Amino acid sequence: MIAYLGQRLAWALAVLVGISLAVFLVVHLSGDPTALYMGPEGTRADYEILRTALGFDRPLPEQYGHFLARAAQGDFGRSLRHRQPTLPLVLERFPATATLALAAIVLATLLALPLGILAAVRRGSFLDSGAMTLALAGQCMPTFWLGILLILAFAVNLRWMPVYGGEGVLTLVLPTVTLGIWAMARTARITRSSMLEVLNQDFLRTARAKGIGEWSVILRHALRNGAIPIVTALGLELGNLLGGAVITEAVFAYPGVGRLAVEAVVNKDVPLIQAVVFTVAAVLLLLNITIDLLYTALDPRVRFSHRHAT
Amino acid sequence: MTRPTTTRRRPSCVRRIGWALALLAVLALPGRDAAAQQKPVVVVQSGEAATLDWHMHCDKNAHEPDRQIFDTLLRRNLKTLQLEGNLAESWRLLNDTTWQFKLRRGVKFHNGEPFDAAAVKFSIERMLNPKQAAPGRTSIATIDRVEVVDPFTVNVVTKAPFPLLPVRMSPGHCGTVGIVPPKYLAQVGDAGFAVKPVGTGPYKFVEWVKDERLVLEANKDYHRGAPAIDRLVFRPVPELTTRVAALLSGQADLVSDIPPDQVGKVKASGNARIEVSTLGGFVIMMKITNYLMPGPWQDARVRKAMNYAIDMDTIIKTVLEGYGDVLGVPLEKEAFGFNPNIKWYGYDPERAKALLREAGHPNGFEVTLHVPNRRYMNDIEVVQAMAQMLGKVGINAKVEVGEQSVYTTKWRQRQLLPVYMVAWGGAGIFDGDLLVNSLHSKSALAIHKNEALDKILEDAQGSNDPEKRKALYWKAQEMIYEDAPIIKAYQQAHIFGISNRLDWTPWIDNMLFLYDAKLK
Amino acid sequence: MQLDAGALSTRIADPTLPGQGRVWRRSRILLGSGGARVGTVILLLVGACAAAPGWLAPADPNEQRLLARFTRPVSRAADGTLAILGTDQLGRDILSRVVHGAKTSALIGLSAVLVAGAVGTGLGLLAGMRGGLWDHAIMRLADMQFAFPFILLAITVIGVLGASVRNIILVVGLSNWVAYARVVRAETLAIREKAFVDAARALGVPLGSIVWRHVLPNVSASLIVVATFGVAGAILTEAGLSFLGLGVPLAIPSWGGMLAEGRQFVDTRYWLALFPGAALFVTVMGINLLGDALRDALDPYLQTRHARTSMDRL
Repeated sequence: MIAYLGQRLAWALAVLVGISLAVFLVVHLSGDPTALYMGPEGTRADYEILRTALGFDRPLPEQYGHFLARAAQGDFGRSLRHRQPTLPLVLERFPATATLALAAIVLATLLALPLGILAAVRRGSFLDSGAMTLALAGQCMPTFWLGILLILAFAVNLRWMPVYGGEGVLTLVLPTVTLGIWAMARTARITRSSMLEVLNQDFLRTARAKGIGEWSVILRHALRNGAIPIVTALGLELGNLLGGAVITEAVFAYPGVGRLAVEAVVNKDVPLIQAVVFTVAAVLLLLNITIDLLYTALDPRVRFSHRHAT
Repeated sequence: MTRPTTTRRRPSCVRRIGWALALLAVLALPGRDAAAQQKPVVVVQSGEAATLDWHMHCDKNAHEPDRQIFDTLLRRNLKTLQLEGNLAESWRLLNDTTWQFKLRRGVKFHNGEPFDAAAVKFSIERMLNPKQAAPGRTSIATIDRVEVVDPFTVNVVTKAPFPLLPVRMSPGHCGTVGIVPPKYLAQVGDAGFAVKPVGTGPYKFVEWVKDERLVLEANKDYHRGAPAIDRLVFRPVPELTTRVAALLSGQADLVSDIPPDQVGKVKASGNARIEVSTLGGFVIMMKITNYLMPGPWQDARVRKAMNYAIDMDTIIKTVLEGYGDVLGVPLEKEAFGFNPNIKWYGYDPERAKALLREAGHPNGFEVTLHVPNRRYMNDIEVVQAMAQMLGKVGINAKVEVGEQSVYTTKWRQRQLLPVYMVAWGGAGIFDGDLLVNSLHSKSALAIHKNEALDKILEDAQGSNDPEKRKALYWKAQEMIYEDAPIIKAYQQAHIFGISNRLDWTPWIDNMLFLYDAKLK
Repeated sequence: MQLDAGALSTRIADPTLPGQGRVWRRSRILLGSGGARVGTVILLLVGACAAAPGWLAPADPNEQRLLARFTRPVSRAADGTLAILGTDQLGRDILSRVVHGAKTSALIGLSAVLVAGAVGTGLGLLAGMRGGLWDHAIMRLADMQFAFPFILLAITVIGVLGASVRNIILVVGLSNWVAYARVVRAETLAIREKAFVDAARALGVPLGSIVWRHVLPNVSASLIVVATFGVAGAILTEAGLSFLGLGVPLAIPSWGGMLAEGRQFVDTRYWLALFPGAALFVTVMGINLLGDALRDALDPYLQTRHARTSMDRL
């Protein structure tokens, strides 16, 4: 177990280095960012002065080596735009993103599980089609649309909720609903199909034959057996959300990592892009490992040796 | 304007009536407080400042709070549009290359540090230092050195005559010098200053929660008297629909750059009103290259034809819903050196076709028009409409929209060819010098080359004599008309949504100066 | 709660049904369900729009009539023409743009899924069959892909290569291959361990052909589920990219672009976004209905025995 974890973590580190190289190459593909950090009246000579000051005149391998050497010590350099060390900029926004992501996942689970289970148990009924249409609607709605509609309805017309912001629990409600519905849609569908598969299996017939109540069968036995796809789906959604729900954060002016990332990319703030991607990637890799560990808890047949590579 | 601290006391009554009522009283307090204390004035911005260090950005979203925190030596009188003293009481030209500023006494930075000649010298030299990599350095690069004559007198010595120096000492964009405190900067360093700025302006920095709110409070010791508003909060809200929603729901007091199609909604809301500033404003134009890319556009007749092909009046009336003005030459009407005699090419598609035939392109040609993604009011729609009008005279125009970083990078590298949209001016410069930046072939913004025009613009830059400069700029505008290096310049009005409780009128384009703002 | 050990192996060892009967039975299942019929009709309609937008649209989708901006649906524009679904901020006919948008959205949705599916299936097979270093390398690549924020990839690639339908397809496709690869790899690994594979190999059947014959039929149901999510996801991703200003070029009408452009008029000129939104919704619903039915038809065990699909490997 420990050895397995160690191995996974070592690989995660290797993946992180790979990602940082990919980021570096992708960003530099479109030329260096000097032009973006010059006043509009700057001349060619100013361009060269600035380029040297920012270090973009060095050969690319040297720039990357320099970055790696410092990153190894936890220093991701200074943001070109903020003129601040980059890692704290990312870390101070991460709690907001994590809060929103978790809230949305909790909401999604609370909606998706009952919907999915009901739809599976009453397969083909009105309830089934109703639940699935609802899930479908959530899946078809671009988040920016849902977000804007919620703002107009609950913040402008009814004035129950604030339009935007990051302070107070109320500001969390509308973005959570926006993302929760989005994440719910897929999870409900997967819950349904996964439950459908489990429901007709022999062991459930056995359980039923033993006289265990139907709902108890469904919740205690079926759900447990169908849990892996559901956990996987929720894990994926959580991963997506932790990467920063770029659009939802923009619509609700929510102070999260996604906005920082977009801003960094739009301004080609190389050190900041590196720090954002590194942090998000590290979190996602850890999440991945956690989910794999969860599998073993849910299904003892899943052995580390087989799972570790997926 | 009672301060909040004075209202929070009711212990005697609390003791008598008991804990239950005490609880009620406590619950009631926020309401009383709100009545006594002003609700902060919330300014909603399209994005967040990355740094509040005046010298280190070229960013509208950072200028907005910075213009409240910092001050400049001079400022623009709103009625006369002339410069007048601010942190400097007076200024004069000692000789062709030396400007002397007499400073106001008794002014202090927000941290108590005194404002003096050393602070002025430090501020200018900091921006000039190449290692500082200040983006506005070029605009003041003609300055050679700053000499402290006595604690309240500084001489700014320039390498050559620099008629624009006073403008660079007044508030504007990144090429202007805000005065920063030398001791505080030495203490907190550049990184510290960027997030906790100290200036001499009407509002003091209080706190900054990134991506959420930036709070300023009134500077009671401001040299022109304390401002009427206690607290200002700047909030970054990237999505336009949300900004308007915030205004309508009463969560915001001031939203700038409202697009024309939202005006009706704001007016109908009953919570907010619309104010428009038409003074200043960006000069927006389509630039055409005459040397960087081969093609029909190298012929001035073709460029004139493109001008004749476009019905700018209709575009402004429809796409901008009237919130704009067609200009002649790419210069603000209020600018020093503006030549009112020039009438730009009107809308005349027949004339356009004739010119195209004359230039040997009876069947037209293909051309790409580059446009930024939502930088100016309805920019994409304007250029799309232009493209269709060009199509009517046989010019097959393709519109290419550039995402911000790509557009800026390509623009700096002169790769937006053969035609691209850009705005210049505004920010209260009001000087023919704007023509240098938009049309001098060495300028970063220019893709057109006309050596005679370059020469005239250089001569105007190198003279302190207003009459001579004016004559040169008039001549320059005649040459621009003949050469047609642009397609139809226009100005956009700046539309503000303002909550009904806030008493404030915008003045120059979309620069925010909230010192005069009051609550009703 | 133990799942009987036979479930997986039975499913895998079970020989596929004879070709003729299988196809017949599957199409019967497929067309037997009401949902599938509705889905087919919807997709045929979208397909017709995509195939011949010029025939179906009443006007040129890019023709601007500045004096007839914001015409309401079913009313005459200022210049006297009838706009069934109204006009937008440049006076362009919305019905025509929705019809032409079908082409863009269908192209993006299907192609992105094809790219992702092809790359994912290929890499998944490679990882599963070759194993060892190949497997490891591909799965690390999958980890990288998983941990690499999509928006950064999208914005940079589109920024560098320019916003075009092709580039959006590439970006969306190449960032979604992991799900397919995992499904295919897991199934391939499972099959390699089966006794009948050893037997077949002993008889000289190449591993590739075994995998081809046994893996793909087994994973097709899961792949279809992933793909139906994928088509809808790709169309919505295009909408999201348009919101961020990275969508398809303006001259090409797309539902996503129309939705993004129409958002600021949601409460004042609803028709700008309502119709492309409705088109998107109906299309995604059609894809899902057909996808569900197709999965039921393709899964040889659904009617007889419910085995765990490979969804858990997603």
